[in-house]
Amino acid sequence: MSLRMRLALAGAIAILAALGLAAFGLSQLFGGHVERRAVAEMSVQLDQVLAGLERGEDGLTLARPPADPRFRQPYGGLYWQIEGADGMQRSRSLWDSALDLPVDDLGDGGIHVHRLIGPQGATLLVLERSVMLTARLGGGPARVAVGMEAAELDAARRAFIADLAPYLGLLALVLTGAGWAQLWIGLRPLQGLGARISALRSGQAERVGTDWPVELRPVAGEIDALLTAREAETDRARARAADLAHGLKTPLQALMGEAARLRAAGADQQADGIEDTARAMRRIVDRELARARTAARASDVSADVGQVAERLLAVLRRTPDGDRLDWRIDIPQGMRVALDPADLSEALGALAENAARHAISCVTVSARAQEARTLLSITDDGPGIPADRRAALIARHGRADETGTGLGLAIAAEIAEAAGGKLTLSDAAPGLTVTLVLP
Amino acid sequence: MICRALILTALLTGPALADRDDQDRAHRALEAGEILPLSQILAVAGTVRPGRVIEVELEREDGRWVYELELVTPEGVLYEMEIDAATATVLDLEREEDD
Repeated sequence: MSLRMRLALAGAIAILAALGLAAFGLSQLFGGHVERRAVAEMSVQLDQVLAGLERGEDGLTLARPPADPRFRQPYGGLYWQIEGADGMQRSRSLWDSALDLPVDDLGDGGIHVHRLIGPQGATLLVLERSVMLTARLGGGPARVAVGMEAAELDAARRAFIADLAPYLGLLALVLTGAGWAQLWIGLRPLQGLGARISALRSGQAERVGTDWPVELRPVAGEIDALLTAREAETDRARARAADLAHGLKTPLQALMGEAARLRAAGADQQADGIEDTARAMRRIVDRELARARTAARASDVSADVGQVAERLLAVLRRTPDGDRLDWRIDIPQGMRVALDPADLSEALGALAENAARHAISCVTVSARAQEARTLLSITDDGPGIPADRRAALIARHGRADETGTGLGLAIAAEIAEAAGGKLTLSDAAPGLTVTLVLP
Repeated sequence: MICRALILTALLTGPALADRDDQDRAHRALEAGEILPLSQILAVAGTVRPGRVIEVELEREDGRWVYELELVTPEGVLYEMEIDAATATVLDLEREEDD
């Protein structure tokens, strides 16, 4: 069940319970009020009965009965009764029945209220009072009672509830509507939180943020803390994998050296076996490094091509190959590519080393934008590679080449592909042009 | 006509006394077992001619107790009904305007 549904249901139950309680309480209050009014009216009639008492030849009589016609109509709904020492007088409305007054020993002269069964089984509200008669009326105690059918009071109460019901219904509607509005306003931040979290998933947002109601801030904070922790963990794992791959590169190079020495000693077969295995391992390590680079690549990573190339050449010029060559750089000022500077440096470095090894006098590093892509070219004036071998190199990703050229091409191609680009080779006549096509 | 004459006589001899006797006669006759309770008479009257009973009298006619009821139907027609008080059988029912 949704949170909204749960709250709405609880609210509706509470509203119904409260209104039911209100209806019950109000009808009780109204019933009490009506009964008090009835008792007050009947006590006036009781006084009237008392005042109308006379002594006739055959005992106590009511010379001046109360005026209400219901006292005269048989079963009319209003009754009086007098019980004296010498018998009982009743209103005409009592007709063939009599009020069965309960034994009342109090005799304190106070007015007592009873509920009795009257004519036709109806419930009567009866006011009764014990009096001591004057000598003129014959003396002695007498009980005087006035009764009224309680059905009238109950009918008044029912009519009151019937009148009240539409207002209670309206109140219930208004309260329910107000409850819904309250829910809608109150729960809106939760919808916002859901939207923000799905934005996190789709990469449109980095963090949940802190612009939330106080109640949601702990949740948002915990989610953000979790994201931070997970990112740090991922970074650490990536760094460990990269370290492992880097660490294996040098031993593998040493292994290749050992294989070369074996070959020099005439053990060609063993050398081939070792080189094959080492190359296989090298491929795995290269792939792992490329994967680490891809994973580390965030969308906002970029490198200044010119700066990277300058730094690289500064190093290369100090090597024996680089020292004898004329390095030319043709890169537009401030040109950037969406690549990690370290990756760009590694790819360019591998290609530049190759070029330096094969060049006779000059190596050119150039960059230009072509449509949405960036072309980074390194051209040497060396012997170049024949067209059929170029195609084969590209097809085999350069790895089958036993010279250092192949390895350098492989590293650069891997980096370019990881970034969504590619590596192309072309004839520079004389020499070779290697181009990194980057998105 | 006999009924009219009786009422006239009762009125002439003094209504207060007649009224006072009215319910006492009914009470005594009921306690003596000579008549049925008024509630039963009213129930019978209600099935024969539903309406609001506006007057009830108990008369002694030819040695038996007779209830004379006046009632007004929901359509607003006045009826006079005579019911045997001992057996609750309807003796006479007539529209007031007919006589």
